[in-house]
Amino acid sequence: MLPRSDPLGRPVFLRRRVTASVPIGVLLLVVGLAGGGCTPSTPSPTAGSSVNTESDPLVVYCSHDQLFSEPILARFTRKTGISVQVRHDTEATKSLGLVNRLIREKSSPVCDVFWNNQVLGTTDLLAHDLLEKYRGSGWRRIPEAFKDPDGRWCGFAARLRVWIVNTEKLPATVESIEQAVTARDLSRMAVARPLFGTTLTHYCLLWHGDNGRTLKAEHADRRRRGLIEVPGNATVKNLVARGTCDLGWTDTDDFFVGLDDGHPVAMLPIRLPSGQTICMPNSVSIVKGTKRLSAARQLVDFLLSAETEMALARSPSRQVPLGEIDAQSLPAEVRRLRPWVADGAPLEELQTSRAACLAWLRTEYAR
Amino acid sequence: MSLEAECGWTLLRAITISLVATPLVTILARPLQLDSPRHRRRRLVALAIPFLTPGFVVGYAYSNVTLDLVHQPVLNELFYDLLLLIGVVPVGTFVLVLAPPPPLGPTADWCGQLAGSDRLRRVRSCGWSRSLWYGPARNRIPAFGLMALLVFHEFEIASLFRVIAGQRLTPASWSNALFELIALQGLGQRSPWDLWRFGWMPLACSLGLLAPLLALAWTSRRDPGVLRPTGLRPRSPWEERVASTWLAVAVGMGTAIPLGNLIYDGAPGWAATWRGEHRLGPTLAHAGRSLIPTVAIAVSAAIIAGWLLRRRHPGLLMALSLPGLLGNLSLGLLLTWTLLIMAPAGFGHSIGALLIGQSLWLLPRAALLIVLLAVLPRRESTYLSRLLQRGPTAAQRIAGWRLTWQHFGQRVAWMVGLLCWWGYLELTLNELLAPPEWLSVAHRMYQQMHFGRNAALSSTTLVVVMVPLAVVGLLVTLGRFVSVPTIFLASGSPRTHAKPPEREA
Repeated sequence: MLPRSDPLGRPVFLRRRVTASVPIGVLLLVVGLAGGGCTPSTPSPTAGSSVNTESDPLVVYCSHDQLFSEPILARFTRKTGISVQVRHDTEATKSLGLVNRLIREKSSPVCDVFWNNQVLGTTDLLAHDLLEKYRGSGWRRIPEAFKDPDGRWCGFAARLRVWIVNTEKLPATVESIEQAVTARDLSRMAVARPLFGTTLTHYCLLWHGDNGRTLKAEHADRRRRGLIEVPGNATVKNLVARGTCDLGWTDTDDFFVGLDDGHPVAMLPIRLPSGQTICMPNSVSIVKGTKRLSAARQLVDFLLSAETEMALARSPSRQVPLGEIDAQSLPAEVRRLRPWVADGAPLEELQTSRAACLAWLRTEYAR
Repeated sequence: MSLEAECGWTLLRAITISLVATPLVTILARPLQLDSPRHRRRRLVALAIPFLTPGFVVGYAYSNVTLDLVHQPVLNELFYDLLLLIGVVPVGTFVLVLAPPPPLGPTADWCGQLAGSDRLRRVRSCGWSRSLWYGPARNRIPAFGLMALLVFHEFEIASLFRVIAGQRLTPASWSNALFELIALQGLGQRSPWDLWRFGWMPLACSLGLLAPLLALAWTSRRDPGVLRPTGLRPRSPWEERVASTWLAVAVGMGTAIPLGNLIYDGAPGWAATWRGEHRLGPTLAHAGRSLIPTVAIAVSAAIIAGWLLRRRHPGLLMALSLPGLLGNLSLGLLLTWTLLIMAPAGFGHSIGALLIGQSLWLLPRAALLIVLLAVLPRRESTYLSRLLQRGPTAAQRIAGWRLTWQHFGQRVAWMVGLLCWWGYLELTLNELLAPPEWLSVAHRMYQQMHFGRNAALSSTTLVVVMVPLAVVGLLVTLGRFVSVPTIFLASGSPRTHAKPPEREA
């Protein structure tokens, strides 16, 4: 008996085999592409394993604003001919962000250089022994207070924690701020939730003085009086700029966005009980296990150079240079911030207080 | 608030919104089933537009409204709920429009009335629960479940709206609570199985909400496809008014106002943003590059869904669709940790992980679109067009290809286009699974949102919309100049041994 045939005259069994091969082919294509995209790695006893080689582009994980970091990295590529692939931190997945990703990738690192927009996450990587030592020309021009003595990370171009005040609601003076924060109703003050970012750094520094005793009491008291807690510092800026709140805690770069948009805002530095300010430099480090060490070192030196610090100072975020620089070339707003940076609290205390502070925050926010 | 409490609140919100949405989608579905094709198309487009607008853009555009409501948490929650309602109503409506009519239609109702309730009560198979399941509730319960599932998994808008005012948190969201737990407890850093301790509850809730849809698919798997009376009564003027008003509100609030607001806010800064070599250029390149994996992913999802539907493997289709139906966050977390444990070194960081993740996410949508757009070709028309493609004259062969394009190709193009759009703007899976060189342009948008760069965001949004439109425009123009059928003419040696399809009994 002849086999049944389809409208094109092919036997049915053949048609089935051909049709069934379509999804199988698709799956094979997917797996094939996947195979093409990943190179098996050989673990090295000293450098760990890597999925990349020296000829591949340099992989940079960057939590700084893409709008400002992109031109700087493009300039690096133009200058050195080294191409760079960047993964920016979207905070779309927050805690699954760059620091956690680097910890997860420990056994087969993808990233070569980590450009963090603060120091806190970087010190976490230090604790996980994920950072390579490098004391190059860039490291040498940065003051001791803003770098690891072994060269596993180095700070540059700092921001500060500041009070943002709506000048139509409140005079921007230390006295009026003190009056506002001691008032019975605190529902006109906004802060970012202290679980991530620079507000966590702020809390860790507050924790350090007396092992969190004052911080715990003040935090509970502020919440009782109706403090507004929002997802991030940009939202704090928006609330104050729009006049929904009178004052709040934010970072200088967010403050300048509000100022440039023409809102009636002013800033004052936030001072710790010791009188010190909270200065948060960017930090750069080389990830252990990189197969592009020479290129990674070139990028680190470039980021720590006076040229990059000047570019970041002149960008709308007005970041304050930490190394030697021609002060007269700096924008006026940045010159005003420099004395506050000089008053900054030491950063080595961060890592010690971080674990205890996070343990307490866990009981407050994630019971 | 604990994860358990936030999970409970999110579930309550999902159920409440879906309870409000279900009568609404019933009203919206009726005119769609009765309209003329032209009106039907217009309504479908109006219904789909808010659903196609990315949630994070909507959330960002309305973040100022929520800032003004920061001292009124109840209003804030209600506003968030309204945005969710606008987002899920199209899904419920499509389910009602697409699903086969329930077995118990108006004839059964009439017979029931003739028999009388006393007599029916004595027949076990005519109990109220069975009458409900095989009657009006058969399609509405799955529509309710699917809408509730989407609300339950929403986190993009919630993360932008999340505020604590004097210890009172609004809106509660399990996914955001899980993020915070991961940050605070370092979950998953030592062992991926840590996540299971907290992840089982949302997963159980998701499966519970999916259960009606799975039950419908399972009980319909042997559906003979016999046409049954639809039981549609003529639409009433008030239903017509409700449907039109809702569509206007949904398009306005779900798409026009957010996008208009974004353009209005950012347009004055476009020139400054695009000035310099590093602004417009990288954004254009990034948008173009984002389309490449998206096309591969959309095509693979469409082929797999089409094959499974054509070969009638609903069980396998449901099994493969399940991860995608659980939402991109759950799927992303699941794949991240699975690949970390099981995949060979490097696979978790390759484009393969992204292709697998987004294909699984798009698979249920592809299956839905195949049914919605009736993409699977009819045997008779396929046979006729193939006969013509192998005709002896060039004119016949061109006519054959044209027929194939009109009956099949256009719909496939629509489907792949829609899948590409979703994949192109998908953020979470891309963030979790893509290697640095394949991060999508949605990242750029989200970064600009985070730093409040309105002018840049507005101009990026414009580029993000224009690049796929330009590609489509280019393809259409090429199609006009180079007629598709002429490509196939060279290979068309006449063959006449094709046999007609057998008549179905």
